[in-house]
Amino acid sequence: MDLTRGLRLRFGWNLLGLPLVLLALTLYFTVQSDRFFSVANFENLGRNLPGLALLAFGQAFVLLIGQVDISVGATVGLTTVTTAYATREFGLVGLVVAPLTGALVGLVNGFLVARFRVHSVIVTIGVATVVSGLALTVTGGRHVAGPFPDGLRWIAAGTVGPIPFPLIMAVIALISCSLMLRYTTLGPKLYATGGNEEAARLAGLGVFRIKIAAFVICGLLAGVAGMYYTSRVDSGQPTLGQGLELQSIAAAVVGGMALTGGKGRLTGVALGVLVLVILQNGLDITNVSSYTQRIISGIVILAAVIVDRLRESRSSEG
Amino acid sequence: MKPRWTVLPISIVAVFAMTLAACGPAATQDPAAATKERIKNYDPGTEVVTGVDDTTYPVDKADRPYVIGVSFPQLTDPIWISFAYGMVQEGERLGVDINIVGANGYGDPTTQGAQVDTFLTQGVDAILIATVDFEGMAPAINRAWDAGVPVIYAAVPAASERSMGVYTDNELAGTKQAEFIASHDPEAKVILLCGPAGATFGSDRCAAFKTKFAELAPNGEILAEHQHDMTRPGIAQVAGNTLTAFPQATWFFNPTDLEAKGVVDALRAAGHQPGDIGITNLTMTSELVDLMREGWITYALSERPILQGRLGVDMAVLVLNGETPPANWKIDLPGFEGTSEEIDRFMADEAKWNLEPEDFTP
Repeated sequence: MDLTRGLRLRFGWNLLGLPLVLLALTLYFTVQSDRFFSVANFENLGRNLPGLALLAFGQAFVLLIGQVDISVGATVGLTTVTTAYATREFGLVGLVVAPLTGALVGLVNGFLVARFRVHSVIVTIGVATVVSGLALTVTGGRHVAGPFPDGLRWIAAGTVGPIPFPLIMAVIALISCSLMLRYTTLGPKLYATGGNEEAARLAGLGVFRIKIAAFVICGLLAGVAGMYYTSRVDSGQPTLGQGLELQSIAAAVVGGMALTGGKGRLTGVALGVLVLVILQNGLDITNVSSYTQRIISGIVILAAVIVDRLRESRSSEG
Repeated sequence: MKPRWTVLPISIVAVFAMTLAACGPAATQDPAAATKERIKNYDPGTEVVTGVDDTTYPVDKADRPYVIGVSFPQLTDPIWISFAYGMVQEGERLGVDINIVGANGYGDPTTQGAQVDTFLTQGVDAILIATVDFEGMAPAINRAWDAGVPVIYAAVPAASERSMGVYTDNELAGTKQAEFIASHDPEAKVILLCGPAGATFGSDRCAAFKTKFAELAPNGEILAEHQHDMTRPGIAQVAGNTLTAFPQATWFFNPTDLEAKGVVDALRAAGHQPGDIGITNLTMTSELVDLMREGWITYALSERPILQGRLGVDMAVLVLNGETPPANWKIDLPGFEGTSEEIDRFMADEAKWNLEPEDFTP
């Protein structure tokens, strides 16, 4: 009993509970299908995972300050369009447009949230609508076709040795973001702002700029995700990101990010992404019906949110 | 004087008799017959319209400049843009005003129901609609009919009391793909993607495929069937996962072009080459044709959304003109293999029914 409590306090739920969930899922699906625990499936997972991972990491920065970003899906759509146009015109150099597009959308989100103190749900829904309309207007609702430089497809389909490159992208993003949170002054400021915004303001932390920084990082990562998706679909698709915003929030919350801000770790978010992706993968591989899949996925997300609330109340009691 | 009084009654009787003679046959004719005759290439048995060309539209003019409200599930999907183009073209030909709106995607009947109510408030003469939900849209459709505004379905119907429209033949879409795969690979191992959960177009096409495939390819095998979110990354993920579970798969069946494109994304990412695995689908958008040229798509059916859009407007105008057209017009779905000759044939004969000009925006 004491040992369990000690582990929980020391490592937190997201570092103790989620690996157990992952282990249980892996064991269950391995028993159910001999295809699940295979090199082919690990490669498949590695190729599928980074889009959601990048968005969830970005979402974590915004959740840390007690906000959410509903516009990441639309940002992905717009980014696939700008990246497709840019790479078609300028070759691989045009890839730089992807993070810039995302960061620009993030800047707008951050400014509006910080300047007018309107909750991010409303602001980012509005921005998402504008961004989506912009992508549709520019393209006339159609895809942006190539010819694209050969290297573009490699981003989603290439490998480094036996490892899919998209997985390497996700790992690099995880390490970079973790280092930023741990070793730069921005990390503690984000936690402080999310934990108690007024106290952070009184302490002279520059809440305005911190909020903008969180949204810019989120947008930038959405832009990189957009680059990955452009490669994946080999075209620009103005509506491509629909639904990804909710998945990314779900993955971050499953990974232990507090919806109220100020709590959570990126390693937890990475585990949350793994749980959702492996769950979907295993259910597909074992041929579970789509209706049942929805129930199971919903239960997992609900369970994570309930645990989050319980943890909140426990910490406020303690 | 006498001859004058004799000629007049005879003339009156003669004119009356001639008038009766002229009107007589029409009074006893089936009111739908005249319209049916004008819908050339319409088979009343199968309700399928075949071989329509620019000279065989079933209506020549609108009796007055009607206003027709059009609602699509969304205006971000290439197929609905093509439908819209066909409707706008036909509206211009007939002198009818076409007012197009997009709803909030599949499964949200509240938004589309509100659009129907707005059309009624605006006083439109008729409504053309591709419904977002079969059951959920029925009350709004019935409200429109009760208000005296005819509702014509474009591709996707609802469970309304009165029903008429121009449709994609879901059964034909499934059976033709089954016939193609069975004839080319009697021992085919097929993965089925069946559209989003709750949407009848995907499940109906899959059901028709399974029935025909079982009949024509008893040694073939359906390895898996999945419904999925209607997003390209979501489809690619399901396709990649299923292919990992069933690497022996030789074919993918797809109810629309979106699934086919998602499957190509998954195959590409997994390092497959065009032609490694057969892909069949319904709907030939410009991107789909590009993928055919690259060799990814083995066989595709032309859904003819521009033709469907035009015929939908025709049906609405016929009704508003007071005629009684047959209630259901299904569209023939010609198939094309992914060879350069077949793609050329598509571009020559079918592109006009499928690919709107790039500068068109609804």
